[in-house]
Amino acid sequence: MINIKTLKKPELLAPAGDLEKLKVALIYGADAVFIGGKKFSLRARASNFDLPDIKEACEFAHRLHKKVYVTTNILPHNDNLDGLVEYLKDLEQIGVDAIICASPVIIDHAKKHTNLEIHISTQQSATNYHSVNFWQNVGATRVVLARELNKYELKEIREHTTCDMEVFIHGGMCVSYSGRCTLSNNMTDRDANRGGCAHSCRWNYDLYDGLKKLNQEIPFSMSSKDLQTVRQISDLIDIGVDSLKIEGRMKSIHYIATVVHTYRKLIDDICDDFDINLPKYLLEIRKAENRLTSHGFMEGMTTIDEQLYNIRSENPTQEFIGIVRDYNEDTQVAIVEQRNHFELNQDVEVFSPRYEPLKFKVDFMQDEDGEDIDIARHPKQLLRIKIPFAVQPYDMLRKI
Amino acid sequence: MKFAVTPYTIKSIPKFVEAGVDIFIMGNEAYANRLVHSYSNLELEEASKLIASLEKELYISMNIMMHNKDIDDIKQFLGFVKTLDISGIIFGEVGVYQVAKEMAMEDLLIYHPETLNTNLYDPIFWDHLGIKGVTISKEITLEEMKIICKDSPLEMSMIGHGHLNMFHSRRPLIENFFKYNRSEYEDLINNRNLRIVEEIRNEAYPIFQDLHGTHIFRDKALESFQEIQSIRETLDVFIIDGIFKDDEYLLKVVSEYQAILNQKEQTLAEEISKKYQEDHDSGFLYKKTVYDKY
Repeated sequence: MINIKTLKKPELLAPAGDLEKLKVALIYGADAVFIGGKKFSLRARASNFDLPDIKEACEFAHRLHKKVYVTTNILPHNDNLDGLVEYLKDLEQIGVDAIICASPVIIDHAKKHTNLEIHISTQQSATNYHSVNFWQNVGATRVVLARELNKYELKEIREHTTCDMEVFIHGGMCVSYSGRCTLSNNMTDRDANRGGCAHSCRWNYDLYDGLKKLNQEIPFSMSSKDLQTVRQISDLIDIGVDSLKIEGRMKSIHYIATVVHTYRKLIDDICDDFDINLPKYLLEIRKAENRLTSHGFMEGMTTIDEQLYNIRSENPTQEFIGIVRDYNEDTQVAIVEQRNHFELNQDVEVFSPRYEPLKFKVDFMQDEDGEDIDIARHPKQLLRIKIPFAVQPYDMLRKI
Repeated sequence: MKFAVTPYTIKSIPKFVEAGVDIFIMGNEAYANRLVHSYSNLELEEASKLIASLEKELYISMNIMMHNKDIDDIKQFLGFVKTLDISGIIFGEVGVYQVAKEMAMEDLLIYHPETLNTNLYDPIFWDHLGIKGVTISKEITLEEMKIICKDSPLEMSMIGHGHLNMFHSRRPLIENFFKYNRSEYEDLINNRNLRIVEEIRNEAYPIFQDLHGTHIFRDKALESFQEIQSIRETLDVFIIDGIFKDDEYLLKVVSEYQAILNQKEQTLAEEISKKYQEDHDSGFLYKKTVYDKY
């Protein structure tokens, strides 16, 4: 048996669907981000980074001594292989810190033609320590573990491997073992393992035994609550998990900022041995949640509490109304980009990576031309708002 | 090309051999997913001797998603399997490879992870690791399949006939649904007569829950009667999976494939294929799924 690693602060890894989200994730406390390039990446709609964007992403992250991982996690068919080596070489040249991949063809070509660090995607559904060691033996430095594992299984894996372990801590969950599902392929012709998953596992069904319909009041549903592990983070740190991963490249900047910042504070407070006030973190993270959440498999086999039945899963979140673009300390006027409708005299809080939320009332608001306005109604409109304390770009305003 | 089937009973094996079957895929449900029947060690021993006496081959299915708790049992079962006269072990999770390699049994392994063998490089990768064969993913087209098989260093197989699995969750989805509704569910576990129907799709997908979780299958079984002549040129093992059917059905299907191969008449293939159209189709043989576009 291999010795358990000594307790250390794990990496906090966040999703980024575009450059702005990437900057927000890093500013709000992520140690690393994962992004999708326009080639060889799942989540087609969330894979917006072309090579110049990836370069800018790396430069921004590296200035902060943080990392960028690029997903190259499709399971390619024969005709998807063109340009693979060139693309991998480009990623290496740009300076990405690792690629996340699932297919042996990508793994082996990355090994042969580049020195890129290789992380194994959860599409491979690594469920045990032998599986992790297999991927380490073929050249991976890290394995993103299956979401079907509980914390006791994670501990056992830690005890049997030196490979880096990456564990999902927050966000959407596949109902199936990841990478093993072709519901979408069959029902919609969209290839789940090549970026097109239609989430057929979240649809409503009727269940029959022969000709007899078994569900009466509500549809048969397999849909899962999203993952949220605030209560388990301490255990995951104790276990020695190397990277804690938030899912959701499609999510808003407010979601990313809130979730990342909450876990950042929580991880830091646990590792700095501060008293942990879990209700505070749970309350904070709920400001970002727009779907019901549970701990998934973390505490053992899933029960009805981890499933969604007969309920809309989307809940309104605390309203995010604007993001700070600039601030003049002399005049105390901030330039704020509008993100949701609000009016003069609205009570708001400033959400910042640097301090606890601070409150103020919007009693001075002008448009970009300096005209007084009562209502901020235009998406992305630039507003001049007086804020009685110093704020910085990427601080966010929420209604309270 | 060899024919492989999943027999429901040991007593049918001689009839399958007469019909032209070369390989029998069998296993125990503790170590395998989606079997047509779970055989005890004693039964596997009996089957192994019978199949060897008929000069045919036995493959043991061990395609569970292995978790840590399964590792010791898997080792023990592999130790038992080593004592049998077998030609292959089907696995779907790479941890099983590690265990088999420790026991110097990797040369018997056939990698069948359902969805992951999608391109011509996969057999090359696995050849370097010293295994016996690879089963091509079920969502691969006929043309892609031929390219993957051509010049492959390994034994190449595909499920050419039968209900294809399209979903496997570790979650007890049937049980949880009925628990939520405060209804009895015990009789519904392992019930293979269950179907789910989506609101706007007139298709009934077989679903069942067992000790490994919940499994969902395509509504129609795959058939390849019209393709078998050309498949034979590149494929090594053509698998006929009898899940949701029975030995009688399997025997009939094998005989029909053999008739097509013997007579070499495409019109016969078309006639037979037509008979099956109501609840069979060609799966992904001609249907290319959409990549990166929605």
